[in-house]
Amino acid sequence: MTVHSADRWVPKLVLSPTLLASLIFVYGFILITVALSFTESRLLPNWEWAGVDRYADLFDNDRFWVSAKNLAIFGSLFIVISMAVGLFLAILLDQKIRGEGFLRAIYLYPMALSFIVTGTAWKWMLNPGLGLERIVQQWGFTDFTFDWLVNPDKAIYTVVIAGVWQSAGFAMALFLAGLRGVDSEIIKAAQVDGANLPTIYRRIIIPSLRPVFFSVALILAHIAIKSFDLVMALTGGGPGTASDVPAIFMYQFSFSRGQLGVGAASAVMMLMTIMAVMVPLMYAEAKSGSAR
Amino acid sequence: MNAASRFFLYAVLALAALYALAPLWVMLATSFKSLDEIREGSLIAAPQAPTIAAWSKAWSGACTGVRCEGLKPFFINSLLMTIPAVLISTIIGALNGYALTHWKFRGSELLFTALLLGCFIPFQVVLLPMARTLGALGFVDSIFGLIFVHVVYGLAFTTLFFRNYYVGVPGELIKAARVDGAGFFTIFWRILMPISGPIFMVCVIWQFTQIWNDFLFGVVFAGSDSQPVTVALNNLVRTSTGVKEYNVDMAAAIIAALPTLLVYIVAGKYFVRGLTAGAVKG
Amino acid sequence: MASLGIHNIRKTYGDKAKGVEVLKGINLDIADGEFLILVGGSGCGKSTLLNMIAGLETVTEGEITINGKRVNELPPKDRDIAMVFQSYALYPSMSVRDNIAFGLSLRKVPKAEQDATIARVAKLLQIEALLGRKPAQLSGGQRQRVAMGRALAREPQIFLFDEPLSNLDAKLRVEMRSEIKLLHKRLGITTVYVTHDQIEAMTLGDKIAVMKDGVVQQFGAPNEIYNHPVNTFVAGFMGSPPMNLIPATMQRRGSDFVAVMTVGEGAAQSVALPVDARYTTALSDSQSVLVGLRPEHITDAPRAAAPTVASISVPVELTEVTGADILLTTTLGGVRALARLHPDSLDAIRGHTVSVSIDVSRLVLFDPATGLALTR
Repeated sequence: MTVHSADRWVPKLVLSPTLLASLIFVYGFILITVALSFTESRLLPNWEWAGVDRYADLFDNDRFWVSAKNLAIFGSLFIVISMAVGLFLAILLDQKIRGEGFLRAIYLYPMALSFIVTGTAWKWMLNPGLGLERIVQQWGFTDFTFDWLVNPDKAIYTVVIAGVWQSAGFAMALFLAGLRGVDSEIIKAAQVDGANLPTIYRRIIIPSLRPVFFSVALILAHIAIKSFDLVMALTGGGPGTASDVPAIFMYQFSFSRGQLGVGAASAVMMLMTIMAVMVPLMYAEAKSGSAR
Repeated sequence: MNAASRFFLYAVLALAALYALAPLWVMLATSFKSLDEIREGSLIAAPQAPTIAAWSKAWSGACTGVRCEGLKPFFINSLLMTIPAVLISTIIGALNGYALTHWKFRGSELLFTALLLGCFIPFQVVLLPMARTLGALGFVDSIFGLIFVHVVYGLAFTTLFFRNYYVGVPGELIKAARVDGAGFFTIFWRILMPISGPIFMVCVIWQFTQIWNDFLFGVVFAGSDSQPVTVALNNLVRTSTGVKEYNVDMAAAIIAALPTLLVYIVAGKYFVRGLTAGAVKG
Repeated sequence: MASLGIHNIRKTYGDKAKGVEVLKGINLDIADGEFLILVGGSGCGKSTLLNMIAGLETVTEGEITINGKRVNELPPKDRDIAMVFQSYALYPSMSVRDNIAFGLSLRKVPKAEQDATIARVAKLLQIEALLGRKPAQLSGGQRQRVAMGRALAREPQIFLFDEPLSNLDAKLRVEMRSEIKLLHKRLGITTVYVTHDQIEAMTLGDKIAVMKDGVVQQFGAPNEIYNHPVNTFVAGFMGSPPMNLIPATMQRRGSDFVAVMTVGEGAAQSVALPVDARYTTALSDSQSVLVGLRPEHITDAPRAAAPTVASISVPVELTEVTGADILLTTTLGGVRALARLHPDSLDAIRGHTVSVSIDVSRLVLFDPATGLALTR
C-alpha cells in the first residue's frame, strides 16, 4: 500500500497495547486462574492435574458456605434497601425542593470515600461499649443493647448498614437523573387525564424508569459481589468467620493460608456468580431496550 | 401540595441529610477529643477540649503494623501511585476512545465489547496470575507494580468514558480535518483535545477516586514500604498495642479520605457525571 | 482545475461476497469546470460516492480519476479537493480565521500568503467582520459562508458539497443557492454537489445524476432529465409537483397512435391524445402505457407557440392557490392528476369542470410493467 495506509494502521497501533493488555491481563489471567483451580497448587502453583478436587474442597468447606450465605444476605439487603432509599429520596428531591443541589451533594458524598474509611467510621460508631449503644442508654433507655458488631448472628447486618449508608446516595443520583429524563409532556398528559401525583409516579414515571432500575441493580450487585474492603475494615470477617464473604475467603486461602488451588476455585465461583447475575440482567435490559 | 405535606417533605429530607452527615460528624468530633473525653462523653457530642494530638499521632506517630511512623509515608505512597496511574490510564483511554469512534475498522466494535467486559470481572479472578507476573517482572512490592496494575485495569473504564464522549462529536468534523490534510494525531491534538476538557475532568476524577480508594490491589501487591494509605489505615486500626485509640483511628480515617473528599467538594459536578456515565455504560 | 472520471465504481460494506452493496457500478464523467449534481433519496449511495471521491471511504471496485490520473489510493489531503459539509463541520475551538487557516498551515503555506488568502476569501464571501469569532457565535448562514470560505481558501481542483444547504431555513437556502451558483460561474472550479432536493439539482447543475439504490438512474443535463426522464422513478423524483403518470391504452389510428385515457372518477368519458410519430415503432395496438405529463403541460394558459394542443374538459376535485399559479387536482386514467392553471382563472373554475389544454408534444410514454420510458 501507499501513503494512504498510514492513517489505517495508526489507529490499530494506538489500540494494540490496550488490546494486548486486555487479552493477557483479563482474558489470559482468567484462563490461568481457571486452570489453577483444577490443579494441586498449594503454596506455589503446581500444574499437576487435580480434576475437580479443589471444587470438592471448596464445597466441603463450611467457611465457604458461610461466606456464600453472607453474600446472599448482604447482597440482597444491600441492593434492595439502597434502591428503596435511593428511589424514595430521588422522588422527594424531584418535588422542586429548595436547596436541592446542596442536599444532593450531602447524600452523595459517602460515595467519594474509600470503603476502608466507611468501615473504620462505622466500626467505631457501632462498637458496643462507647458507640451508639451508649448514646441510647444515655438517653435513658438503660436496657438498650446493640451488639451486632460482635454478635456472630448479626455481624453481617452491620455490613449492610454501612454499605447502604455509602451507596444509597449513589442510587438516588441515578434515579434522580432518570426522573429528570422522563418526558414532561407525558406527565402533563397524565395530569390532563386527571391523575394525581402518586398515581403519576406509580403508573407512569416509575415504570418508565425500568432501564435505570436495571443499571442501579447491576452496579450494586457488582459492588456487593466484589465487596472486600468494607468487610475487612468493619468486621474483618469476624467475629471468627461469622461475617466472611467470598472475597475474603478467596484472599485468605490464596495469600494467607497457602491454598492457591482452593483460592482460585473460589475466585472462579465469584466470576460465575457475577456472570450469573449480570448476563440475565444485561440480556433483559438489551431486550427491553430493543423492544422500545 | 399543601403546606403541611411540604413541611413533612423537608423534614424527611433534612433527617436523611443528618443521617448522611452523622458519621462524618462523629469522625471529626472524635478525632479532636482526648481518650478520656471519649470514654466519659457521648459519641455525638462536640469536643469540649479540642486537641490535635490524635491528628499528629495519626499523621506521623501511630503504628501501622511494625512501623510506627503514622500515615505520612503511606499517604505519599498513595500520591506517587495515584497521580501517574491516573494520567497514564486517562491519556491511553482518550486515544483509544478517539480511535474507536472516528477510525473504525473491521473488528473495532468487537474489540470495544471485549474491553468493556473487563469492567465487569471481579478482580479476584486475576489476582493470582498477576501476583506471579509482577514477581517475574521484578515489580513486586513496588509502587511501580501498583501503577502498572491500576493502569491495566483502569483502561476499560477510561476508554469507555472517552468513547461515549467522542461518539457525540460529529464525524464530519474529522472528515473536514482529513480533507484539510490533518492526520490521526494532528486531528486529536488540534481538533479533539480543545473540546475534551469536561470528559478529561470526569475521567481524571473518576480514576483518582477509584485508585486512591483501592484496597484490594494495595493489600495484595504492595510490600510493607509501598503500601497505599488505605492499607495503612486498615493496619493502623487493626494494630492493637494496649489501649484502643479511637481518636487516632478517626483522625487517620479522615486523613485517608481527605483527598477524595476535597476532589468531591471542588469538582463534585464532574464526579457525579462520572458516576452516572459509568452507570449507563454499554 | 480538473476533469473527474468515475468508472465502474462499486462499494460493499463488510464482507465482499456477503456484505451490503451500496454502490453497484457507477459511471460518470464530467469535464473541467462542470457542476455535477448527485441527487436521490436517503440511502441511494450519493453521499458514499462523494466520500469516495474525497478519499474518505475506500473504493471496493472500479476507478476514480482526476485529470485522467487514478486517485483510488491517494489520501484526501493529496487529492487537491475541498469539501463543504451539511453540518459545516467548523472546528469548534478555533476562530473563523483559524478555521480557514488550518488547512493552509498544515500545507506549510507561508504566513503572509495565508493572510492574503484569508483576506481574499473573507472579502469574496463578506465574512471579514466574523474572522475573530468562534463558530458557536455564528448564525447558520454565517457558518455556511465560513465553511465555503474554508474550502475556497484551498483553491482546490475539485469542490465537493455534501448537502450544504439542508440545515438552513427556506429563505436562506434560496439565497445561498444563488450564491453558490454565482461563485461557480465566477471561479469555474469543477464541482460535485450532493443533495436530496430536486430544485437545488435543477437550478445548480450542469449535469445531474439521479441515483436510487446504488445505481445511477439517469445522467444528463437538467433539461433532458426534466423533459425526458428515462423511467418512472426519475419522472416522479424530479419536478415539484412531480410528473403525472396516467394509465392509458394505445389505439392505432391509421398510421399513427393515440393514447386513450378515461376522464373523471366514473370513467364515463375518455380522451384520445395523439402520440408523436417517433413512438410508432415501439407501440402496438391496445398496448397499456403510462402517459407522463408535467402539470404545467395540462393548463388553461398554453404557451402561445405550443404546436400540438388537445383541449379537454376535466372535473375539478380540489384547487390549491400557490400565488404564482393554481394547482388543480383532477382524475385522469383513474388516478389523481395535477394541472397547473393561471392564477387569474380562479373565478373561472368555480364550477364542476374546467377546460384545459394538453401539450401533447411534451408527453412521455412509459411501460407500466418495467417503468422504463418507451424509446422514441
